[in-house]
Amino acid sequence: MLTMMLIVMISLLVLGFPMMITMLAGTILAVVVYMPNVEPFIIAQQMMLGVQGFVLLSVPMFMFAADIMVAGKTANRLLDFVESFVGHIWGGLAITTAATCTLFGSISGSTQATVVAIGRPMRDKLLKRGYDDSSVMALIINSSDLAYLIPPSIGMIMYGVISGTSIGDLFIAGIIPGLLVLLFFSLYSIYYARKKQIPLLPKASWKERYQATRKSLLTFGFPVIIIGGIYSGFFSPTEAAAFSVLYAFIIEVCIFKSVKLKDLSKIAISTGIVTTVVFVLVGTGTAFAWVISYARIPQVITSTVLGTDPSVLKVLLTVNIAFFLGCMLVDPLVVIIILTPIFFPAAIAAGIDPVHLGIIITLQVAIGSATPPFGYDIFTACAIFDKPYLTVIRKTPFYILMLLFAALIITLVPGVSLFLTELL
Amino acid sequence: MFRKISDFISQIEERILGGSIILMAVILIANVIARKLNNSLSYAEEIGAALLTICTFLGIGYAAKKARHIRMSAIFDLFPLRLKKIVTIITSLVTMLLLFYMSYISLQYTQYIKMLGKVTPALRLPAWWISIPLSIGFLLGGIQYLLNIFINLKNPEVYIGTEKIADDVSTETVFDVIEEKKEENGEDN
Repeated sequence: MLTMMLIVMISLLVLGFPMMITMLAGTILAVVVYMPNVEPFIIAQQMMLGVQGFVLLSVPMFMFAADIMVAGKTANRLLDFVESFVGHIWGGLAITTAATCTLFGSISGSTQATVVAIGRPMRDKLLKRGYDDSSVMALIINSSDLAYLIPPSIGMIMYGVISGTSIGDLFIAGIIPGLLVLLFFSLYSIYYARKKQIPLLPKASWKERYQATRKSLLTFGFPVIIIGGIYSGFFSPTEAAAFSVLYAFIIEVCIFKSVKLKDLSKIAISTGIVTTVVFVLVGTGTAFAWVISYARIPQVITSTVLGTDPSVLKVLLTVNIAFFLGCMLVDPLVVIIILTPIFFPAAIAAGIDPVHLGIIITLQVAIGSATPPFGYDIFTACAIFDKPYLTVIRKTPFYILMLLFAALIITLVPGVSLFLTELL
Repeated sequence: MFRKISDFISQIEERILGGSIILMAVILIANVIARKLNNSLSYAEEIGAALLTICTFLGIGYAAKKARHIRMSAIFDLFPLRLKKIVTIITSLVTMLLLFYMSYISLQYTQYIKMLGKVTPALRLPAWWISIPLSIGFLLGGIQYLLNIFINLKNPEVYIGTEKIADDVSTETVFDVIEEKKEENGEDN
């Protein structure tokens, strides 16, 4: 049954079917052909249940807040802020890009929004400085992964919902790993700029720095609302998401007036489409996960891959590889929905902290979303910058190596993820 | 005629999508404020979940029209034009059939919950109401792919969505529109 499903799904995927149809076809095939005692309407039931959780409401809310900020000029204000501080050192502009992606990640939970918000203004600047297009693309796509690790993160929300792990803890735990990746990228940017002799920018004066800081100051209210609000128990994650919408509205519409009230409905429609696209996949992923668990496939997979009583290292390594490979083929959220129930019980049995596991999974799906062939960010970049697929991916391998190295550290040293949660 | 109906449906879909997102935000914010005033809106969760269901399923057709559903196009893009067209028609056909099937089993599901006669915990409304968006959404999605077959048979270009031609990489987002308007008005922030 599994072989048949895989053959059908992979061939549909390659032909360019929408991913939801690929998953639905596999699910329907399994239910109609191989499970005669199951009512087919279970698929509809599972799809509906998949999108019912209250916590899931935080996803469209975080996206809406980020979309309002993208339509306004928040990203540019953040860029000016970072640039005024690090712009003058070697690789300053590249570091600015990576660091701003990190900051923007604290508003937006998705990598695509970050590609749009930071990639657009930075690409022209970087090209003018003498970076070539492929390395600019690689930098932008991979830096956007940081948005997935820095709270809020849609991947973490999904993992938290499925595994029952505290989303607040996951959010906190993602901060240090995110900064670690940023450090790697910055070091590489310095090395690259020195090697290529990219000209330096003039150093900003303290007056300019003050002004840039003042303009971007309000943006830093987001992490306060989201992390502070959730951690102090004032908000649930969903409410924190709704309040970041309110906050974005106040900043962009009332204070900076960079978004008009009537633009808001257009932004909402755009968020609505993305919500449809994402949640239809969440629904189909849930139905698919139900089918394979009904057929007891997870048990077969874990017992053949992991054997009985596996070591912690073996489980972690398997999780890393499985999520990385999965993301090369399908959307990161779908991978989380399908693979988490398969590996979570084995990981907990081996004594792995659920928060640590969540961070590893989030990092791997973030890497996957920038890795060919499927990596969704690559397609986003192709579409936004109107560049062929191959130009976009040419320089990504080195970044992927750096990210995998970071994944190795984060996997082997649980403290990197758990330090802050234990502290608080 | 086709175009008119299709445009009319899209307009409704746009309102539903945008409206449910804004309503979601408003209800959630109101709920927090109400809770701080010791007057929690018990139905906020229920309405929120219903809005998410509505937004998810009723947008299928609209997203299909704009060709926004996620697909792996790397291999498809390498095909010659003729093959692209054939593949697109086959894809649309299979997609349409599966979506119609989903619409049918969703309707069965709705009937099943109706038969159970459950009500929702907070608002005490019939629980089967919440499952209605599924049948309608899948149906609208299927219709959109049906239109896509027609449009591909009639026109020389390859339409991957009824409003989107393949190879036309410029995806115009709402941000472009706002940006352009700003430039027109000579605003710069």
